[in-house]
Amino acid sequence: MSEADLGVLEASTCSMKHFAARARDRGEQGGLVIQLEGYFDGDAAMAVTALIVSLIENWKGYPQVSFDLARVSYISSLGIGALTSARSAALQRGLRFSVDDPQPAVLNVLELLGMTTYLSIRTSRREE
Amino acid sequence: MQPDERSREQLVDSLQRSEARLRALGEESQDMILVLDPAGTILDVNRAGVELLGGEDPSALVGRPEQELWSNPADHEVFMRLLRENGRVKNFEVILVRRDGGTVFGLQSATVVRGAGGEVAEIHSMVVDITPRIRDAQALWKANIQLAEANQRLKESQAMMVQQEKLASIGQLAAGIAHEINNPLGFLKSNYSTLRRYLQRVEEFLSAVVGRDSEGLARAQEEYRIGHILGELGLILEDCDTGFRRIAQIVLTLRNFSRIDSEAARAPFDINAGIQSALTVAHNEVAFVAEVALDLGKVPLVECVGGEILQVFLNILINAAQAIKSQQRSCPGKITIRSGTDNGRVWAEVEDDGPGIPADIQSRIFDPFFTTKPVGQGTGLGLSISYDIIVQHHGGSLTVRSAPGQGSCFRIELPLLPPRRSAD
Repeated sequence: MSEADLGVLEASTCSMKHFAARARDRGEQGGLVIQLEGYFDGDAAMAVTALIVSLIENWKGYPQVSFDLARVSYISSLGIGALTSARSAALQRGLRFSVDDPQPAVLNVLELLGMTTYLSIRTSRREE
Repeated sequence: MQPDERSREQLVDSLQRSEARLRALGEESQDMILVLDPAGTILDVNRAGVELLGGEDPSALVGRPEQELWSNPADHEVFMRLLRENGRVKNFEVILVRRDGGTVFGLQSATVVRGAGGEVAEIHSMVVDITPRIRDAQALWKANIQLAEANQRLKESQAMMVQQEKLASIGQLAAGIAHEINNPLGFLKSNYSTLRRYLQRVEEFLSAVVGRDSEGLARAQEEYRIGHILGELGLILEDCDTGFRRIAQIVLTLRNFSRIDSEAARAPFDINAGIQSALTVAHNEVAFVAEVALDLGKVPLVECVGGEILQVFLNILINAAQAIKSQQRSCPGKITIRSGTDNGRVWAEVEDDGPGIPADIQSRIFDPFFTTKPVGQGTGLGLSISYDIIVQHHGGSLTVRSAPGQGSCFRIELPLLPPRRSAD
């Protein structure tokens, strides 16, 4: 997948004030890494869900998809819906999947909805 | 009463009625209505709001920071920031904590009300309970992921079944394959003995000619038949080449056949060469029960997983041979294999003059585990897997024409470029 293909995701959010998304090919260091930033609310989710699913469906690189949520400070139900759609698309392609480093507020929502196991949450934050 | 006084009384009455109407509207609302001060402290809350949080008395909420009601205080900061920036927020998803510790999912909208000097005087806010909707969505998310997981497991088991069926076919054909390898191996062994014998003769010749003159050399050459040996060597090596090629071809066919195929294995494939490979592998199964007639047309290469297509040819070819064999006839049967192109698709047919398939089971022959063979002789997966390979994996078709007593003809059609295997 070319840089231009990956760049479509970033371009789709460049006019959004409180949200940004970008996709990177990290090769064997993580495969397709989708980095989100800001408020993953309904508008943001609607703008990026189909693009993310399409990226995963067409991904031909290292067989892994990771969502970097370290810079997401708020997530709505549509945001979680986007993550589950991505998870399903990754499963269909036989790709490994993880959601990495969610902030406590985001992790709390995922826990309240019982989605942590389904979304393979990983955290690299050290305990204080 | 003076007109001014009457007018004022009417105005007061109108205002009182308006206030009562608005208060009733707030109190009777099914949704939570909140009035906050600029810092987010609750100034007023309606009955629906109190009930939503599992309380009984509004006074338990009034005076508390709204943030305390939120499951994620950090979300409240986001909410207030958006409110400060835009003067209003619409449908912000919140998670509220009930008095009993339960959670309520809501959509909160709010508007800043400004005083005469433009300063923020109050925040008017409404929360719609969307808990049932979120619970439904939650169930749907989990169901979708579980479905995708089940689908993935099914694909893995299917791939394993295909591989097991392949291995079963190879096991079934092992004797024939051994025979196919043994045949060239036989003449390679014989050639090897001859070469050793000739080498010994050449060594003897070389020892014998030491110190001889040209006349003696010529005599020795004749005596040891060196000219004959040199002439034979070329033929023997040519013969060995053929033997090695035949063994290598069988090994290559087996390797292609037994490979665990993947999407990456798609490549241009020669259907006619595939038919020849299947005939090589199944030779011993077919050769003693039927004569094979080939009527192969000129066909373009097809983008496919070659090992899978080979497996289909092999399944159908072995079925044809076994059908003929089941009749225990005195003379060999006939299997005709044709290929060609039609409307941008490559087709191949395998026709036998066996007993044919009864009409009442023709619709079931592609079902998994359906077999008419005796127990232990068929898994009932061969045609099912063949159908899956041709139709699901390659977007082609696999059909049969058959009538009892008139044999069967299986027809495979493949598009030159099959659809990508993404959701299978």
